[in-house]
Amino acid sequence: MSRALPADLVCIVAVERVTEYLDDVLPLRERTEFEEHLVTCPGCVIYLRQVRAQIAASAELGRPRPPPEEVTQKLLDMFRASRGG
Amino acid sequence: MLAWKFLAPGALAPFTGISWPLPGEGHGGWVEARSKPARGVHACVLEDLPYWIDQELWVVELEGEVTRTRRQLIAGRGRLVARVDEWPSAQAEFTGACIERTRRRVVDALLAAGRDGDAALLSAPRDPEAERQTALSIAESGPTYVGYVADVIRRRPYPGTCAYMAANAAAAIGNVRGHDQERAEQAAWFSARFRLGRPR
Repeated sequence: MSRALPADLVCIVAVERVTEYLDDVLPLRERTEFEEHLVTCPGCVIYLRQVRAQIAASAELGRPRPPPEEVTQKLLDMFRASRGG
Repeated sequence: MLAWKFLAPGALAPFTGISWPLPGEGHGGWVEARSKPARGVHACVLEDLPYWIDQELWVVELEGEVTRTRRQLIAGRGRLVARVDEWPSAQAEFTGACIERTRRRVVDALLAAGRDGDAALLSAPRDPEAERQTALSIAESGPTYVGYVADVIRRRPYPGTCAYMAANAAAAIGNVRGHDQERAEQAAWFSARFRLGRPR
């Protein structure tokens, strides 16, 4: 079907822009186009949420997580034993 | 100035996820723009509303420099003033109006093309699913623009998408002018249904 309007953003392009959108580096016009697309595309909204959740989860991975107390204790015990008590 | 803003359920900004403070006894707290230029608080004048439909419609007060860009206002800061409570319960009325306008446009185009039989078929009252099937079968016989009726009906649970499809249908039949007219009619629906005036 012929289109009478300038081409709208299609999902494949929207998906490519997600990272730039989340990094807040899209120029205003592209940002607006992207958000307009989201209003009409539940699938891309879900994708955006997934990427956002993935970034948040990745950030969690980067945080130092000390081992549980019992593991620390066991390692210390093993170390002391190896040094003859 | 006062303007309007659609938010996701719970007064959440639909894209950034920012939580807008609810109005208490007076007005809600201010949401400030981020530091980057043109990254202000977004809101709508009446004609912008159909492009940004979501689950909650609010009256917002804007302050600071307010600029008009493509299909939205950008302000230094904004706060929620009052919710338009009748939205989204009136959603089905809105999508119903989109479907009806699309059907009317398509019927007119069929009549103009001399396809009186198809026009009569599409004009006959029936339930939405039957109407969708009728539209699809007519579209398969040649006038593909009739398929837009099926598209608009299928998207009726999603008012933003339904409105978008109705505008695309209008564009397919009446070019850019048709598109703009349909979007203006959608905005007029909000204005009439919720007694919205010009921002002040």
